Parts: sequence; structure tokens; C-alpha cells
Amino acid sequence: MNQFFTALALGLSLGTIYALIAMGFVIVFKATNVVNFAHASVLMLGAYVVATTSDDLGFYLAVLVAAVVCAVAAALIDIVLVRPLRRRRGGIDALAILTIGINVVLATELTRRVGTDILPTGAPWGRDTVEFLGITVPQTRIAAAVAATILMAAFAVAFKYSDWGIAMRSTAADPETAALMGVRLSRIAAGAWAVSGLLAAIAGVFFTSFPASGVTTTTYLLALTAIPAAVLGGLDSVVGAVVGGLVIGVAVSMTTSYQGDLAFLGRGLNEMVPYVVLLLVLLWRPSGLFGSKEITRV
Amino acid sequence: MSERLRSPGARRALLLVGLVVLLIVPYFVEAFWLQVGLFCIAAAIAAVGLTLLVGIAGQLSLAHAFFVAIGAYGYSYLAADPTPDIADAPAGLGLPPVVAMIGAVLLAGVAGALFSPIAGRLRGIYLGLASLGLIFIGQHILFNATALTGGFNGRDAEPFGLFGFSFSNDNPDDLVVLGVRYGMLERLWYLGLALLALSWWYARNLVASRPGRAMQQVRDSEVAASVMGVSVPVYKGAAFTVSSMYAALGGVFLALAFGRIVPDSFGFLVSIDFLVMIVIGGLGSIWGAVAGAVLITALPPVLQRYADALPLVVEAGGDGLQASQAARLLYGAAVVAVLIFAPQGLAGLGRKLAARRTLRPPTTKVQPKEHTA
Amino acid sequence: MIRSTRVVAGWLAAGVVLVGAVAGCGGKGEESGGGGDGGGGGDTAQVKTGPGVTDSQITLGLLTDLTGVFGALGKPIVQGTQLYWDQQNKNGGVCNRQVKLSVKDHGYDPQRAVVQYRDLSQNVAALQQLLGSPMTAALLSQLKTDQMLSVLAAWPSGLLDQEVVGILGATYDIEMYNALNFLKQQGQLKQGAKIGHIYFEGDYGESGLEGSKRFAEENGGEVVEQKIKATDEDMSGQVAALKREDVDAVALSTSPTQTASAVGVGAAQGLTVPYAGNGPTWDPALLKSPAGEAVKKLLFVSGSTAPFNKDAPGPRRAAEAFTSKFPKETPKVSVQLGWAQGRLMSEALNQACENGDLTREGIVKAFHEIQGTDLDGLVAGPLDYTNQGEPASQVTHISQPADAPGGLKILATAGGNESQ
Repeated sequence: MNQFFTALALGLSLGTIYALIAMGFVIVFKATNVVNFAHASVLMLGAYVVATTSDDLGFYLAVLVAAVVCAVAAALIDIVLVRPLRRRRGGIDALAILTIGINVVLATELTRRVGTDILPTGAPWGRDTVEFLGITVPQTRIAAAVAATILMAAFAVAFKYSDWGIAMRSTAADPETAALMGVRLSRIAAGAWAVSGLLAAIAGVFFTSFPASGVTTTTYLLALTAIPAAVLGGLDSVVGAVVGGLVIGVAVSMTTSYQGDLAFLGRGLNEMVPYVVLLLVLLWRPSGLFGSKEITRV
Repeated sequence: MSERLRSPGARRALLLVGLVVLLIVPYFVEAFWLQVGLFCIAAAIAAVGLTLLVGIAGQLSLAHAFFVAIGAYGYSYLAADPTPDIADAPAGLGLPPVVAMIGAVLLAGVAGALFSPIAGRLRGIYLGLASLGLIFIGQHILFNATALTGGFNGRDAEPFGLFGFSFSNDNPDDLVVLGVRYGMLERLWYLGLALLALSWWYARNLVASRPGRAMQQVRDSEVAASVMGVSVPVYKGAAFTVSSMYAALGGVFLALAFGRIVPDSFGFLVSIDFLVMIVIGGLGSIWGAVAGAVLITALPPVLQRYADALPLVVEAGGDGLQASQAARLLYGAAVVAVLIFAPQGLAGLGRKLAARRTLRPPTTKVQPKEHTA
Repeated sequence: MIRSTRVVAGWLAAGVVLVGAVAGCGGKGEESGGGGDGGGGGDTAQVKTGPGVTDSQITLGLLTDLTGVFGALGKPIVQGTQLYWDQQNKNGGVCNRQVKLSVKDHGYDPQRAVVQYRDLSQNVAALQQLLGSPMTAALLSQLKTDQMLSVLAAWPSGLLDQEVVGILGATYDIEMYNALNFLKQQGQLKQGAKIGHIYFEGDYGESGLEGSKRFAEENGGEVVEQKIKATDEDMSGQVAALKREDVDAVALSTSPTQTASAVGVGAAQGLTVPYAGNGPTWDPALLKSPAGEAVKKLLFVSGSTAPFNKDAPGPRRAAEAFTSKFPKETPKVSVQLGWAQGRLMSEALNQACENGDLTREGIVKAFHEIQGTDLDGLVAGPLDYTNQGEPASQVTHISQPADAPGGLKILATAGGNESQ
């Protein structure tokens, strides 16, 4: 039983990081209809900025800087590159592929800069752990869970009550009416991208801190593991992103923990499991757990 | 449809010249270029299949590399010796290569048909992202079903042969044509050209045919299509099946060009590559898919080969921009540039170029104002 | 419209460059006669020559990863090899010829590696470096046909019976066996010890696993397996599983980042047992990671190649050359590896020169005559390539992370006589 609960705790804490990334995907998709593959390298950018500045600025200030840098970077990507295509009513596929191109450029430059190094993020938690009822969880993960929960709550409130949130929801519901009502669509879009950049930066820091060892040339691949989380919850549902993140986190953690018992399926299952879960969920609900059905009408 | 060059005669002559050039290529170029060419052909065949699926039938798929893998491994398994002479080499069925090739293509067709109920249930971007699942499941099988796939280190692909003529370095052992030795690469070049021509011809006919038009209708509007009496699930399934068979044929040829196949050649990034090929080429355009495949496949090795002649790029191992990084940057930038500035891809540019030529006024100073159609 | 005109012009220009490049290659009829066993008519020496060898120059190929997932490994090896040959060329080269290196970066893509090999295969005498087991697998039959001696940047036991493959020292299984055996001699492992092994899929991990299994078999213990992928970064789940099994030691056949994660998580979760790592588990950057302290206490690294600061003539020369050329870069064991590979190749070329046969066949043959040298201390024990199918050495360095250049201090050399 202890094995089960340890795996569950590790999975949930990992899941909150997935949830942060998935939320970034979802917010951008909701506001601009873009499946943003460039999210992956923005996440790496965040981790990279923290790793290179935390020595001088201290960890928390470095995270703040990274969040700002990523928010600006993501907003710029939208304004400079994605908006022209969106204006011309580029299809959902074209937009997604555009972000693949952007991702390649950004990731190539970042991996070139990281070079042969492993850059630790300098998180103050080090490798400390918390033990609770016989379950050991790294402090980083507790911090991640707390930070993610705060961010999600803040976002939920902002989404519900702030002008920006209302404008964004009305845009997602009916862009033309929203525009007629005086909502500045382009500003809403850039704002959504900025928020997703911020979330990516935070997720990137947690992903590369202990138990991982730092930023490496493969860091940009990490965000790709969160794609199933975003999709299975429903690409346009923020709640779905959170649920999806937790589901995938637990699924990955469980398969790792029970790898010995699952050996007949071949070893190294954890990379495949998120996608199997995704396929099964989509077969059951073609627009994800919480996604709205209309969204597939392109 | 696309504009035609003014005189069919000129067009035919151009085609003929192109064909002759392609046929005499192995006589002149080095092994490097032939090898690049073989990989280009393999990618082109598979890309034509994907453009039929995504561009014509409107079904986004990120699983293409999975079906390419079925072709490559299927061929290798069907053609391999049942009792291999090397210890622990994965065994096969020992079928003649031609049968193995057809078998592998059919196998992928079956796999595509099996996936089509899923494809029928999902739409748009959800379908694309769900199809990613196939890639990861496929990779897991390739790595773990060692008896079939050889696992991490892969398995050898039996050389292709037809009527006793082997597309390898032997049998006939020393095939010398006008002083140039025709080995595996040279022979495979012709096989590749033949397969590519076949793929092209079939795709063109398919697009122009009734089922082809029905697929386009499904792409444009599923509701309208079903109102017109087109069975949407059937045509979606058919599109997946046909595209998978193209992928598999590309895969078979890829296996032949490699000589040995490993799981790393069929991963997530390869699927993305295929998508990028058809987008750069111009969605739905067959020659665009071929052009895109050639560009994406040839760019990295060619850039690296001439790295020392390029500005900004340093020699391999030095500090600064490596050739392969430059290739990645160009690749990314090309995708962005094509989508923003030329959404019709290379095919669209080609069409514009042809149109411009006919419209060019006597004085070059005055450009005609074009209206985007 | 100006915009699209420019794009068209750009594509056209690219096309012209491409066509020009193709045309520049010319016919290949003449070229195929260039290699072969024509016999050097020159007056330098009575040496038979083959592709990649002229009267004044020998070209060697390096097919490596500088920008892909193993770029962090490939680059310092290339640097080490380049430094070696720079120095050697200054001292007159080998066989009265200067050695030129042709470096190709495949970025861990088998397809690109195959294409690049086609290019190299016509112009080089041997492969000074071949990195990546998928690439090795894809190229192997071609290497055999071409009789291309290829020095691997890896130590898989599965390729020992290949005549054209050169492995520098002991293979992964021996590394791991030696590390565990060392721990046993130190009293850290007892008879019947249970070993948890976290390993990469593929050659590296499976070869390492052979070693831990052999050790467990001989000592009446058992091995608990945890297989991982190159992209896994968080070892929490694996460590938790091993802790549950209550293992007495952890064997690691992983990448450096995974090593840091495994040892760090292990120390944090109370799995404070010795961790035995293969050579490639180490990178000095781990000392700066959150797991730095834990790694210093718990990790033992076993490898053939000398740690960066080993006190022997060979490693010292390499270290000096590296620190004077790249004063700002972190010294790594891979630099020594690159240098040692260069050194090994020059042994083979010298032998081939003495035999009067610098063809590819001649170089492969000469390679299998190398015997009894430890390359001035660049590897742990004397190398012997005369028994094909057997590892060239049974001896490895056992080192522990420490604050030193390269981040390792040698504890012992293990293996060889005492283990047999």
C-alpha cells in the first residue's frame, strides 16, 4: 500500500507541473485557436534564464525575471509571427505548424547556448525531502504543487472577475460579437500568450530543479510530455488542463513504480503511457474530458 | 486547378529533359549525392501519401512515421531469411522481395484501416494529437518486440531483387556501364525513380477521380458531403488506408536505402518532418510534397558538406554555429516564412511564377497589379 | 507583391546554388580509380596506400554528435582528438604524413549518419570516432565491406567480435563488474547482495547489465532491473521502486543528468547505499548540481579512460594541451578519451606504416597487432587487440567524485589478474 501512496503522491506532484504546462496550452488555444508547440521552447527559455541568472540575482528574483522574459517572448511570438497568419484566417493546422517552425528556431538557439553543460537552477530546496506518513516527496515538488495551486487559483479568479478574463471568455465564445462590444481582440490574444509564457517559465523551473539535475540540451522535449495532459482534458478547458495534468502525472508515476510487475509489456513504458491514456479518453470523449464539442468545427 | 503552361508541347519537352537528367544522374554523381537522393525519394513517396490525407482529405495526422515504420519493418520481416546465418539476428518469412514489398504495403493498409474508426470519431486537431499516440506505441513496440524488430539495434533489410537481378552490390557482381560501376546505390536509384513515378501517377489519378473529389468534399464540409450522399466515415477510412500504404512504400524504400533500420528513424520528430514537408510544398499538391520532401531531406547533409564555404557557420567541432544547427534554423525559418508569406507553399510559388511569366509586360518596370484570387 | 517576389528570388537562388554544387562534382568515372591498391609511386616510402592516404597526408573521419542529444559527450571528445593530432602533426605526424581530421556532425540522426558516411567512405583511411549505437548498427555492414577501422566512442560488449570495430579498453560489462567487485573488496557489499540496476535501453545499458548480472551470479545475489529512456530526467519513481526492494547497492548505466537525479533522490529518500556507475555516467557539472554532495559520498565511477587529472605522462600532456587551448572550458574525462582515441589510432597507423601497408585492410590488420601498451597511462591497463572477440583490457579505473579538475579522484585500478 505504501508503494501505491508513494507513487500517488509523486504522481500528483508531478501532475501539477504538467497541469501548469497544459494550462498554458489551453489558454493560448482558447484565446487564439493555436495549438502552441513553441510552448516547449518557451519553457526551456524560462529554465535557462533562471539557471543563468540565479547566481547573481538570487533564485526568486531570477524566477521573476524569467517569468517576465517568457511572458514578453510569448507575446512577441504572437504579435510578430502568429498574428499575421491569424489575420489571414490561417487554419488551425497551419497555425499549429507555424508554431512548430518557431519552436525549432528557438530550441536550436537555446540548445546551442546550453552547449555541453548541465545548468542547475539554484533552487533553494536543494535535495531536501518531506516525509509524511511514510511517504517521501521532494520539497521541490511540494513547492511546485503549492505554486501551481496558487497560480491556478489566481488565474481562475482573474478569469472569472477581471476585465481581461471576461473579455477573453467572451472572445472565446464569440469573437465577432466580442469585437463589436469593443473588446480589443489582438490585446486579448497577446495577453493570453503572455500568461502562457509566464506559466511555462514557472513549470520550466520546477521541471529542471531537483529531482532533475538542471537545464540540458534536451530540456525543450519536456513540455512535449504535457501535450497529452492538455488534450485529454479538452483543449479549451482550463479545468480540463488541471485534471489532465494530474491524470497523466499519476499514470506516469504508477507505471514507473510498478515497472517490475508490468515487465511483460516491455520495459520503459512510462513514455508511452500518457499517449495510451490520451487515445482511450478521446475514444470515449472525442473532444476531451471537459472540452466543448463545437471547438472541432473548423 | 493549376494553370497550365501555354503550350502542351513545351511542357512535354521540359518533362522529357527532366526525365533524361534524372536517368543519367547515377553516371555522374558521387555516392554521397546518390545516398541523399535515395532518402529524398523515400521521403517523397511517403510525403505524397500524407498530402493526400492532410491536403486532399483534410485529416490531420502526426502518425505518418508509424506507418512508414510498418512498411520498413514489414518488408524486412517478410523478406528476411527464416533461419538467419548470424546468431540472434531477428528471423523472417523468407518471401521473395517483391512479394515482401507488396505484403508490407498491404500490412500498412490494414493498419490504416484499423485506425480509421478512431479517425472517424475524432476531428481536426484532436485527431492529429491523438494520432501522436500511434508514434509512441509504435516506438515502444519497435524497442521491445526484439524477436520481430531487433530492438534498439534494429534489423537488416534484405536487398531488393527482381527476376534474378539484385539491387545490391552483387548478383550481377560487377555491373559496369561505360566505365562506371553500378552498385547498390546506382541500382536503387532507378528502382526509386520507378516507385516514385508510380506513386505520382496513382496520386494524380486519385485526386482527379470520383473518390478523390469525394474526399475533398469531406475536407471542405462533412455535413455538405453527407448531404450529397458521400459516406463520410468510408472516405475518411479510405484516405487513411491509402495514405498508410504510401507511407509503407516509402518505408520499404527507406529500408532498402538504409540497408539496416533502427527505431530512431521512425520517431516523433520524423512525423513532424513529414508534416513540414507537405506544408512547405503546399498542402494538397503532389509535386509540392515531392519538392518539400527533397528540400527537408537534403538540406542538413548538403549544408554540412559545404559548411566551410558558408558564412557564419563554423567547422564541425569549433565554437559557434554548427552546420546542423544552421540547417535546423533554416528549417524552422522556412516553415515560418512559407506559412506567413506563401501559404500555398512551393506549389503556390510555382503557379505564381508560371502566371507571372505569361503576364509579364514588355517593359519590366511596370508590374501588373495582381489581385489575390 | 514585392514580398513574394523576394521569396521567389530567394528560393531560386537556393536552387541555383544546389544545382551548381551538383554540377561542381563532375563525373565520377575517373574518381573510382583513385583509391584501390595502386601502390604509392612516390619517393617517401615503400608503403601501399588506399583511400584517404596520400604521400603527405592521411585523412581520418569523425562521425559524431555535436548538436544532438549526445552533443555534450561528442564535443569534448572531438576537442581531445583534435588537440592530440595538432600536437602530433607538429612533431612530424605519422608515417611522414600529416593527419587531417574530417569531422561530421550527425546530430544523433541515423539517416544523416548514413549519408555522411557515404561522403567519408571515399575520402578517409579510417574512422577516428564513431558515436552512437543506432548509427553504428546502421553502418556496420558497410563498415565491414569497406574494411573501415572504426574507433567507437562507446564500450559495448556486443560488438567485440567485429573486426573493424575498435573499443578503447574494457567494455561496459567489465566496468560494472569491476566497480561492484571493488565495493565488495572494500567491504561495502556482502555475499548475496541485492543490486538495483537503472539502465538505458540499448547497447550501453544491456551491456552494463551483463556485468551486474555476472557479479550477482558469482556472489549468489540478484539484480533488480529498472530500464529507462534517454529522455527521462527524474529518477524518483525508479529509486522509490529500488528502495522498496531494499537493494544493497545501485548500479547505474545512465547519462550524467540521470546519475545526478538517481543519487540525489536516493540520498534524500534514505537509499544511502553505494552507487556504481559506468564511465559515461560522469560529468563534472554534477558537482554543481543539487546532488553534488551526495554524489561525492555515494558514487563510484568505473571506466577505462584516465580521469582528467590522472598523474601519468599521457593524461598530463592531454590536460596541459586542453587547459592552454581552452582555459575557460570545464575539463572533462571525454577530453582524455578523445586524446586517447587519437593515440590509439596513431599506434595503429604506425604499425601499419611499419608493415608497409596503409590501405584500409592494412590498418585493420595493424590494429589487431597492438599489444602491451597502456598509452602512457591514458587507459587503466595494457591493451591487447590481438584476440579478436575479447575485450582489449579487463582493467578499469575506479574513481570517486571530488573537487579536482575533471571532478574525479582515482581510488584504485580494478580488474585484470585478481578477478580471474
